[in-house]
Amino acid sequence: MKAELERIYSENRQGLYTLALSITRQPEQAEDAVHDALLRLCKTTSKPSGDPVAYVFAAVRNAAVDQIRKRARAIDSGVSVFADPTIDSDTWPDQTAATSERDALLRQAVDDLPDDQREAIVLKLFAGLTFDQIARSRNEPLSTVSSRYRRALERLKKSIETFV
Amino acid sequence: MNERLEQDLAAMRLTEPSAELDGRVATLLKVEQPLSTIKLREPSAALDERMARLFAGETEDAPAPYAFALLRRAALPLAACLAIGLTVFFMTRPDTTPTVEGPGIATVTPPVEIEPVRFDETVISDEAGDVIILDDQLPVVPIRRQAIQTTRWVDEANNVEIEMTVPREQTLIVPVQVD
Repeated sequence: MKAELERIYSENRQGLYTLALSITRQPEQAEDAVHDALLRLCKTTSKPSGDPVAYVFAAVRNAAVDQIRKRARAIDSGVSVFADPTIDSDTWPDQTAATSERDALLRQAVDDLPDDQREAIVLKLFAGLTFDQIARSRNEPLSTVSSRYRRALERLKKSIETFV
Repeated sequence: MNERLEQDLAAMRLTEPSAELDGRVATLLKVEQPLSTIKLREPSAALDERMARLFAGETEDAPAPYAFALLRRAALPLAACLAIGLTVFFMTRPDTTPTVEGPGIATVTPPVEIEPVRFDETVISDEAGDVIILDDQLPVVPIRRQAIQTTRWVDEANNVEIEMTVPREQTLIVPVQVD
């Protein structure tokens, strides 16, 4: 079980952290959530049924929610799931400016999404899970997950309508 | 088209009419593509170190469930309340412990009987009654005496002074002198 968890972590390290960060909005708490989730899973003697990747993502999600509960007070705004933007010097200047503006709008739009839609974007686009895995990790119907993801993308599309 | 995208489209076809599907997918792909190029915030090297230790068997203590965490936070205030309650209880309880004398034990000695420093009796009145003859033929006169008896004690060690005034009445039998 521990060997399989290690493999799942190494293959999904970024996705697990991004999921935790999208919930906690704090880098330290996101790392704690990932560690605590895998620690609990390592101590579990019974092997879970179903998709182990979805199971690990579900555990990280629950641990991230626990981190929020430990906070003394709610935070108004946290850090983004995206890294701070940097200028790419290999592209044309005008292309860089347009791309930067589009990416800035997208970053802000993702951070402003409702929690469940942002989580759908994170799991589908950044963690690379299938809709079936996302549905299993959240214990929701597949149609609910897929339509939530589509609504999130439509919201994001409106934020960059001038660029699409 | 890769396998994952095919799975996703198959899932969407379960809920979507196929006539709209291609257009919507194309639109969504225009959003997905730029999103996927934005760099994500990465975890620190410390997380990888923690995970390496975890998988190597050097585990940290698992965090307590939320309820236990709440109990831990409440432990100190609860202990303070308990300490205050016990203190008040023991301070207001009457002291019934007996005193025991012994070496090295602080004892309270009972007060030494103090002799009165003053004793006064002031006669208020003497009323003589009729002469009566006793059985042995002795003539006597009963005298009814009323007096005020004042007693004063002084305890210099404890700086205490007590004065007691008691009215007394007594009948004195005085033999009558017969010439």
